[in-house]
Amino acid sequence: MNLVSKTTQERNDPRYLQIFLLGSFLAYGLLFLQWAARLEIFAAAVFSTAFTQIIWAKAKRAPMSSVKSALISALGLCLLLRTESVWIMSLAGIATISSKFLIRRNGKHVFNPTNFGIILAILSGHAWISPGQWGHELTTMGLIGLGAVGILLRVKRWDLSLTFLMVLFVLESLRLVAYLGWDWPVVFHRFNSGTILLFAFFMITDPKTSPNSRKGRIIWASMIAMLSFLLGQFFYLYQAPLIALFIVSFTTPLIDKVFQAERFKWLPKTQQL
Amino acid sequence: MKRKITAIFLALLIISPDVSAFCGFYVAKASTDLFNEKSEVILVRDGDHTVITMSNDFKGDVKDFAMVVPVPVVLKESQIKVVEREIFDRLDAYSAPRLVEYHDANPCAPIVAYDMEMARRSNAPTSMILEESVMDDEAKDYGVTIEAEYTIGEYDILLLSAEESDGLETWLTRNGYQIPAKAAEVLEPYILNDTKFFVVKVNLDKQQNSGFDYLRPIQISFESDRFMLPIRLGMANANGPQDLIVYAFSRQGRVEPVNYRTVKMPTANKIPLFVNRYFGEFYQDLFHRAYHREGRSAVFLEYAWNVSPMQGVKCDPCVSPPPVFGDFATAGVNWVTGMNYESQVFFTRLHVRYTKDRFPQDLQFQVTPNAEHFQARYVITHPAKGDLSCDAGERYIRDLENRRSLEVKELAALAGWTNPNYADYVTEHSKRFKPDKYAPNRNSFLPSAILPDGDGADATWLKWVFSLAVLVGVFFLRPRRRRKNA
Repeated sequence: MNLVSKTTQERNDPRYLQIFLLGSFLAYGLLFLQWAARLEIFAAAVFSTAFTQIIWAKAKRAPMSSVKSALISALGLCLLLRTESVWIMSLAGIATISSKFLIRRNGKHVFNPTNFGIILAILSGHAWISPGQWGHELTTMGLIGLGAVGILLRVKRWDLSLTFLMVLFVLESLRLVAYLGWDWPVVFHRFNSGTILLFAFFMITDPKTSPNSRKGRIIWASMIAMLSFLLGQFFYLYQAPLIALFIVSFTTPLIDKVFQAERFKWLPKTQQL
Repeated sequence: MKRKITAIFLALLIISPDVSAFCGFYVAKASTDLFNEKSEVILVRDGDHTVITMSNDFKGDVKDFAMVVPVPVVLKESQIKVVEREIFDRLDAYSAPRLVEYHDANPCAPIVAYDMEMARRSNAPTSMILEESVMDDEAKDYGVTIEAEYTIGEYDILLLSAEESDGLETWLTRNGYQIPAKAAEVLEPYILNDTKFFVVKVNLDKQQNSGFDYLRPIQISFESDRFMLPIRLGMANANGPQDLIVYAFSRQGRVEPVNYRTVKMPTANKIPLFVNRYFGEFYQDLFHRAYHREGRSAVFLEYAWNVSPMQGVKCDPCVSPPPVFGDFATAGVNWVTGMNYESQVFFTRLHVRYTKDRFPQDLQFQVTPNAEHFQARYVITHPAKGDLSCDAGERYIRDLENRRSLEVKELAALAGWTNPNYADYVTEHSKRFKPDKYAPNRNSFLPSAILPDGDGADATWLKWVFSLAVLVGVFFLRPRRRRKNA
């Protein structure tokens, strides 16, 4: 492979688009949704993830292009995790990236890095998530939806989002409308939420931690949706989807073993992490 | 050299107006009485332990009062209490959005003076109101079970469980509780979710003996993993939007809704002086605009502060005394035991204006570790008084005019108030110090300094201009032509 084609390929990396989109969401939240602009905390997320990624990449001789993944994780933390402490955010960043290198099975990391970092940070008791922070404006949802179309066509993981949203929608409709007798706006209100869409379009679709085969992915996403439904409806956990993803991640190696397929690579034919 | 820069920086901080702003005086507050269709609730959450105190604004004939509240468990008699109304007044007064005033110092000769004025108020009640009557024992026929029955304070309390909403509706109607037409369909989801119903009416004998001419708030406490307020039932008989003020106490930090967006009210805005006469109206309109700006679907944060006994500053400035041990005990904050570091309490005041279309779900909350302080506070500034005829005084008047024009713009942006007369407010001081608008403006062009007996200092600038003009002249008149000719 010559240098020119390598540069072109590098430019085609879908992670650039993802970084741009997540960055836009963050800017949107800060400009229009009155999110607290804690620059030191955002900086902590970016530096801790990038620094950890570089150190691990050096130690494991992984390519430096993986810093882009670290930036995506950092933006994910900025968008979802709320904390007042620079240290908690830094620790979350370090945990996020380190989980990729330390918790591995069959040559791929088990947990969605951002999800792992968020769960750890919440367990510390000094961080929280604000599922309501996106509001319920259609413009917000439109923005996330459009962004999602762009990125999912690139990484070819729309099957995950679709399965997750459909299964969750059917379950919630059955319980809330068919059984409890609430009206439809209750269900729409639950789905017209930036947090659930961001989760469905940008978190579970991480091609590195989702199962390799399509069959596996559909089963995997259905399990997340079902668990998320149970935790949310019967245990009243508002972080239900994040916890569900964390738990279902344990089954990924098994699903990959049963349904074998080629592993995803950000840049074909180059060594990746 | 570095040290010098630090010193200059500190000096700048000390003279910056924001620092002096901390010694402001509270002048008015936007009490909850301003909002018509409103209810108030005190929420206390510690782990799964929840205490809900519901205020009772019912102003009609007490025998017409009744209330139905969905609760997650059958409450024991010891879990229900009647508390004094003062707790709401105290918490409201302490945490209400506030108007604070500052006084400009006279740049020529400083004088300090303060005055205080209260906001005007208007009153009106709300609640889920049902008609009272005699009870009968056919409960079982309608699938309704009376789980418990108590008389507490001036209230007769029933805890009901039901198998289906029609039965419950019929039973309630038969027993004289007039259910609003749309209530039945909203009862259904609660029944199916195994919710119990806490039904309250006034025991007239007890009420007369109690000596109160109003109904006191009811407090319930229970253990539940659900931290929510059932607002949907109250919407059944509401025509327009309803206001709900939540006073929440937690150990860790702010209480925030998880299924709606929380927005901070605008704060620290400088508004014109005359707003102190209309502060109540100002806050109503400000809230109304904020409510629409956020798509009528946000929950507003009005106050957040650490009110632990060991916490030093509990407000800035204080509108009224912060909650004390007695208030914590009344509200159900049972972990505050005294002046120790274990007694950590964080107070949050949320203001929700809800309608059925924008708030289809009940309000669900979480306790966050967010301990950032917040208060909705608006600032008026009194101009300096006394003789302002010195140089600094004239500069001050120019600055004052600029500041006031910004204040008027702020008022338009926040409350939407515009009035052509506001122009007078902007210029009133500049005008006052120029009594005759036809007075000759004698200093503006040729200063007296060029006269032999003029003031030397005043002429300095003219000297500079003169010298400069000369230099320019020299430049233009430099000998070029001669070279050309040569």
